Amino acid sequence: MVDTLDLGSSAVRCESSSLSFRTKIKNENMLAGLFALLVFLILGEAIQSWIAIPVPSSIIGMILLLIMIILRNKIPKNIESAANKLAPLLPLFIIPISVGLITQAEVVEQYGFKLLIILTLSLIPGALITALILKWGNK
Amino acid sequence: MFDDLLQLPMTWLTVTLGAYLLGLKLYQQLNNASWFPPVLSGFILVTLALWLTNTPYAVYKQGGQLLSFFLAPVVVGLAIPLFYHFHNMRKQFIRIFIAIIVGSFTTVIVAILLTHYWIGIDTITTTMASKSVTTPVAVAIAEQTSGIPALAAAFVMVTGIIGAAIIPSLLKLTQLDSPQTTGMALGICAHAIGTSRALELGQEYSAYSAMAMTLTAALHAIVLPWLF
Repeated sequence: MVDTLDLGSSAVRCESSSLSFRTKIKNENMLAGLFALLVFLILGEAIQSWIAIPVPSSIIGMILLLIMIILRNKIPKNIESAANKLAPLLPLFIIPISVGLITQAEVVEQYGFKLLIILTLSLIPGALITALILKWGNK
Repeated sequence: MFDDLLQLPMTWLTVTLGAYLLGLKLYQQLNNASWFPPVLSGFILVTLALWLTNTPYAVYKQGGQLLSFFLAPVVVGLAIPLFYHFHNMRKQFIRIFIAIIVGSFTTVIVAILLTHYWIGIDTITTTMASKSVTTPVAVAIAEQTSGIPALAAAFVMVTGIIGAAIIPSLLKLTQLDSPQTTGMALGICAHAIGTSRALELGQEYSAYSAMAMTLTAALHAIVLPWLF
């Protein structure tokens, strides 16, 4: 999600072309990329219902795309452009999901404090063990 | 007439967009404070609007889902950072992979056990399992495992905010901090919010954090649905 760095360099590369031309090319790339992402999503959905595995269809789509990238050993420019355009908008896409919390008011009211403690406590062993393994492996 | 407008998906799509833009402005005003991300302020503003207009969630959802649909293609697009990270960590693959597997499942197992014995409601326990991955993936996992997507999003947000706040000091206190350990602990335990915290600590921190976050998300999405 922080991999928007390449956006800068490709923008610089296009700097020489005129502004309107640049936006036109970029938008077409981005739409072609979005189209490809959606095709992979549908393929993921198809595979999921076909072999009945419980992995989310979007994750299967992601794995298919990863396999394609590994086989070609190159990231398709338009898919990267679409992903880079969508990623910063994540909070916008998440808001409607989180608003669903109002249907869970009872859970939050009844268990909110306990859940907060559970979430905080469970972070500590996770972070410490991660760090210990990395330190230990470094020796 | 006003009541009719409140029934339209278009209205709630617009309200959500407006809330997000306002939230983004607030976030910038607060110097990108990680404890008040646009997701949180946007959530508060939309909830407030629903409460003031007495609109049920089912009506809001008609408009809201037009936006949240895009979470799925975003998840597919995670293949790109995943490819970069695989590429960059080839040399230390085994150590990093073990740290991610053990570290991320430790925090999840502790959370699941605590929820199971302390609260004991199965849907909440199931939802708790997806707490350590970035929201779009957590939502997909929750839908897949009959958890509650909204609750999953809330857990992820809370974990991220708390993790970003305590993990750097926790590792400093135990003298375990380095760009790699702190970065990866942030990515594993506090996903995207942790990664933006890591970015404040330095480039190297955030590179490790982003890698750990992406790998944890992919790993959990593949493994967790089989267990619930």
